[in-house]
Amino acid sequence: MKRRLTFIAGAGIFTCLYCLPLEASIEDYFPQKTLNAPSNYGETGLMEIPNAKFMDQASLRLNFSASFPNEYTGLTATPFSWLEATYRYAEIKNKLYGPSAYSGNQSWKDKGFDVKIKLLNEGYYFPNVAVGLRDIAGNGNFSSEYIVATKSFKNLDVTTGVGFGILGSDNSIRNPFSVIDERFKNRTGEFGEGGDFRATNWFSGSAAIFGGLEYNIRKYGLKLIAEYDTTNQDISAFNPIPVKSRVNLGINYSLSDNFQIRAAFERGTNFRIGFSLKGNFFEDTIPKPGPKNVISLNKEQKEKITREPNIFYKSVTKSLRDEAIYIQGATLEEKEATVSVASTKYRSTVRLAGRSAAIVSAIAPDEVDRINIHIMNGEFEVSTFHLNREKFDSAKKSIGSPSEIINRSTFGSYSNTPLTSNSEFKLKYEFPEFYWTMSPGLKHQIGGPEGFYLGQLFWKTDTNIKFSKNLSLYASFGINLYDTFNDFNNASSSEIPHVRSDIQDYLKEGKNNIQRMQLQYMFSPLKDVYLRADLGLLEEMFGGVGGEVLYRPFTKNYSLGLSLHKVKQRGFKQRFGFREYETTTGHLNFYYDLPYGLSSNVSVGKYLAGDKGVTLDLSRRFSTGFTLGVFATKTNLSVEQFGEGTFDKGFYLSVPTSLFYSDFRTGNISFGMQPLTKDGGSRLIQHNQLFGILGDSNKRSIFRDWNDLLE
Amino acid sequence: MIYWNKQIQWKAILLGISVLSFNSCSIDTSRIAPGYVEAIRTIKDSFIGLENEFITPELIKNIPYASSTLSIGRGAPGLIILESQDGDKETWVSADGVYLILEKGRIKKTVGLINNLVSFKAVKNDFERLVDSKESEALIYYYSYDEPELINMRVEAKRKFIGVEEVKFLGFEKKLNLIEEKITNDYIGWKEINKFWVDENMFVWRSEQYISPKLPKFIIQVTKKPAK
Repeated sequence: MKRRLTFIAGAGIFTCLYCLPLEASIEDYFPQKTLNAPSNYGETGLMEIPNAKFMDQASLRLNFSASFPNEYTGLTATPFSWLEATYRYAEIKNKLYGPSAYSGNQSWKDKGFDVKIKLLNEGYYFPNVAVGLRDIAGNGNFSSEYIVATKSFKNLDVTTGVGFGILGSDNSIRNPFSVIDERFKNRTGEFGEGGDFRATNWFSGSAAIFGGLEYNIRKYGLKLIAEYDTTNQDISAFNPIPVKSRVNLGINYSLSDNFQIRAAFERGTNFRIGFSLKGNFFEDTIPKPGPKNVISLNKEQKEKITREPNIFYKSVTKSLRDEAIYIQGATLEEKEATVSVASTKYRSTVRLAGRSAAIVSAIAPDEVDRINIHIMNGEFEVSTFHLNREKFDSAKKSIGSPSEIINRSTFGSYSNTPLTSNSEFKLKYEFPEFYWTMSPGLKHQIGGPEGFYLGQLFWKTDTNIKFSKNLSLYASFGINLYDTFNDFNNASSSEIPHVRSDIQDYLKEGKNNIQRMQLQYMFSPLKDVYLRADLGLLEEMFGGVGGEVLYRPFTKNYSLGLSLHKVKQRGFKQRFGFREYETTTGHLNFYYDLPYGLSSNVSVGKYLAGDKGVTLDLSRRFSTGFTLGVFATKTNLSVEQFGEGTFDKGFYLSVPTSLFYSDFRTGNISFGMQPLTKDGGSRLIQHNQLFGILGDSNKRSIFRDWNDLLE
Repeated sequence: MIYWNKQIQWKAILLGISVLSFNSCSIDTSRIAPGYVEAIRTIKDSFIGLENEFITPELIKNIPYASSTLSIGRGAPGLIILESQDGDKETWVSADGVYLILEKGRIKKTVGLINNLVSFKAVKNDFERLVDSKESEALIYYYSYDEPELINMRVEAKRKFIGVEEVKFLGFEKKLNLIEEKITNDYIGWKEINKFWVDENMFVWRSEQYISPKLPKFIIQVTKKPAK
């Protein structure tokens, strides 16, 4: 009997083990996945409460959730698999924005910023554990902190956690941190102008245990949700609303891997509806075409090329053009073939170098054993690849690998002596050259007292007259098509020079404007030193003279820059007139590449309003080019002088459009958010910033993208 | 060949909405270079789909091989060329290295996609008698995939003759028999309808096929018929 039981148990275990991979496999093929859903506030969660799940890294999710009185619209991003950051607008429909003389009947709006950090990954026994903060630096209406755990049991996800602040309103337990320090027992009053982190309040005051269940019916893409809500909105000091039940019920339906809709019944009184859109940009999921097949020349043709290098230059020029690569200069020597190239198609300089080298190798005489590819970006030669031809050709034939090429290749930067200045084959220019583009454009003012959204649709014309290789005149003109800017009536009350806060006057009076008319001279006077000089109408609010110098040692992970401008404030109409205010502004910039694709920039100097301080910028760039970043500026202005927000801060992101297409392209869809337009910490907008042109072409970037060489 | 799947559509829409609604109060465009044109173009492509105006009857005529157009999802139709033929088994290839192995018009294997059909098994894979009998037919198919690997996913199929339709091709029109095939896997809730337009010799001139829960619809239309 015992043996029989042992056999059955063994067979059972075997069957389970055998079946697991099969089951796991078909699980991946559910057409509608029950996704990790957002909470009402935007971070991954249930409804009012968060859970300890996260979106995959490099994800972006837009969340909308509407009920009465609270409606939320938020954007959540995951720069790391362990970090979720959310920016959110809340509309409180039963409260007015302000007195009707100030803001009419517009409802209350509240901006908020949340973060959630993973502490522990789910294992067989252990749950996912996360810690999070809601409405950091806000005015306290939604401020909460929490520690939460979520464990999955097949289709059931169980969540429980401890909440503080609004999430701790239920006050069901003694604050566990009060054991460490008495100060955690009390939370100070939180209502104010906002912008201050008030870290001393975090995890303090009343605490409560919250929890919830999520049941996934994967076949139908459905998720049933029940939660115990500890926000106790009936006792809210800000906006009390009736609560009949602490249990909220919801249902979530995933229409696809990226789109969800949901409905909920909350507080025993109100319904809520919502949707979320998600994209993941960690990998480029659309296959791109490989390098074009270049037919190698036969022996006789190659001998002819050795005698007449012009045939080589013409052949390389034509073949490169087929790959949307444009030759800038070339020199054919006995043992070396050197080509300077530029392209607006390839984001990766390594891919550009690899495709160029493949063409050069197919055409160059057999005696050539080294191929040099000089990469140009705009006016600058940014990097040079010295490739061993034999290793390169072997790898192309799959006999070797990119790693073997890198061992026999060298890289350099000869910025002040670019190939184009001394190459045997040179492009002929006929200056002045004229370029122009046209496109529609939008301007916004979001969250102002006159209306939540005021905007302008305009027609933008960009022109560029190139007088020489280094000297260009850039001009941008805007023509109004439609706008709602006449509704502005909230003049700036800033106590410091109005360098940005008169934006309403600029938008209202400058609907048809000269956005920019700027003479720029760019060159590299010394190795690894780059220079840009500016003169004219530099941006919509300032004109003047100045420049930037950047030292970018090619083999190092850092760059150092200095920008200095003498500027005068432009008239509101943004034509050729100026206002009285003028200043000198400049910054010393230190850029440093950190591990994990992180880039940092510390900028110290004098800002437009005359305040002095520092700006920190931290971003993560994924291999696809998708970038997420944050920045903050603190200057010597007092909190009172700066006003609401306490200090300048914001975030930005950039998504390469090539992720949506089956061919390479360099365009980006970029946007950013500065919650408030303030005078303090404002910098001059500089076009063609040198680090933007050169920052992603140093040796570290080449090594990072090396696998692109043969693709 | 450009193809769009649902994921990409939603990504595009997400970006579009984000760009339109989340730009800042600030005009600091050094950080916030607007990408409206790219965004609008991307959204347009995702809704309307893409067109390929380069495929013309002259182009088809000048290519010395049998050819078809293939579009995946809302992607622009791209040309695929018959690379080889072994009995009923045909290997078609696109310019960007996607291989399709077709047997009697049905996709039985793919190479070069993000999720490939490794094998397709069926007791019967032709449309004989369906057109004449006018009765529906029930079959069982087994699909295997890579990335993620899945072996022999059982799919129930029910197919029937719908009627005769006039179908427009590049430079000509044909009256063809339309056969509809409902495929279902109850466990994962995958339900799709495949369509095949066949002539009197059961040659498939046009088809709309779903080959994986992870891939959008494949539309194949013959532009130059393979010689037998």
